[in-house]
Amino acid sequence: MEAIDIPILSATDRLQRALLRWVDLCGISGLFHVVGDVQQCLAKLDLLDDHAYIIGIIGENPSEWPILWSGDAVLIDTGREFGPSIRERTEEPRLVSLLAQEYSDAVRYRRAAARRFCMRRPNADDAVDQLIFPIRDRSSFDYVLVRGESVSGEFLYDRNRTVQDREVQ
Amino acid sequence: MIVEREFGSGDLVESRVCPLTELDEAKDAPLARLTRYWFALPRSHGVLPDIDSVGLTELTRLGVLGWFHLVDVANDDPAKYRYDLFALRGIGGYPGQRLCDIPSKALRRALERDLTRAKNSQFPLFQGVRADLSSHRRDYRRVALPFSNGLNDVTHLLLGVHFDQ
Repeated sequence: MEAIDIPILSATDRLQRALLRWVDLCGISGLFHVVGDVQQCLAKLDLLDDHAYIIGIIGENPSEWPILWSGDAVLIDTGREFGPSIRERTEEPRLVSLLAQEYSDAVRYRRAAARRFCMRRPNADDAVDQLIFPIRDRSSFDYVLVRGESVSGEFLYDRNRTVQDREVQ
Repeated sequence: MIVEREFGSGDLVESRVCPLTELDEAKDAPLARLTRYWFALPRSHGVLPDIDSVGLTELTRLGVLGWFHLVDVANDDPAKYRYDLFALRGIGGYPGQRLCDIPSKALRRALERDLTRAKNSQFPLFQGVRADLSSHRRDYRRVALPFSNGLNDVTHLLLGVHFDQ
């Protein structure tokens, strides 16, 4: 199990556009400050789609972080806790820790990240690409908006729902 | 200074090959950052950096997102060079487009010539370009940075482009 920068050769137009949109919103490495409801604010900015989800980085135990919202193609559900939801979808116990580390770093260092999470298997690797955007509300609670897509295999996104490559710019 | 022109159907494309020392870091900051980045990349095989070593986070950190194309130049036929990524701040192109798909003959010929030159030189090529086409007119600066796929041959060009907005 590993997390690496998304190779430019495989970066899709959708992810590039989403990252550019974020940079335009809050600078090269910015933290986005939300006024009011997080989900409504991001929806108004057209930052939510089927392959997006929002996690509250609340408390020291990543397993208990709440899933505030998830798109229809994401295989974890709104309202549930992050850790158990991820564990239901993969047999790899280190995935929760790896995701939590990247999400925590995005919030701690106030910078967006593009990460490929890759699970090595004997026959074929499973991989997802994710853009991780840090958010803070007026009460100083932290969140991450995660926009992703499957590269191979299936462990976070429904392979039957293709990414809508719509423009967000 | 070498100035080359391509004409056709009322279109004009003029390219000036410039030394890298003319790259103005204040005026063309994205191109300067990309070029510095290219020189700083590790070389595991010969003189060229590996395209696999370039990632989206690093390009974002450099502030060049939207200001570059990625072109697959592995084919021996320049007409079949293909845009793997098209600059999001650019106009008139799309990922997957081959040079032979470009409607303007003048622009197509100029790109085939310039990208082949960059591929063969295995070194950054800095140019000023003036494209006066029926669809649009634009003056911009461009730097072509060569990459390999792990061997010594140039397989990709990262094309930094910068124009006055």
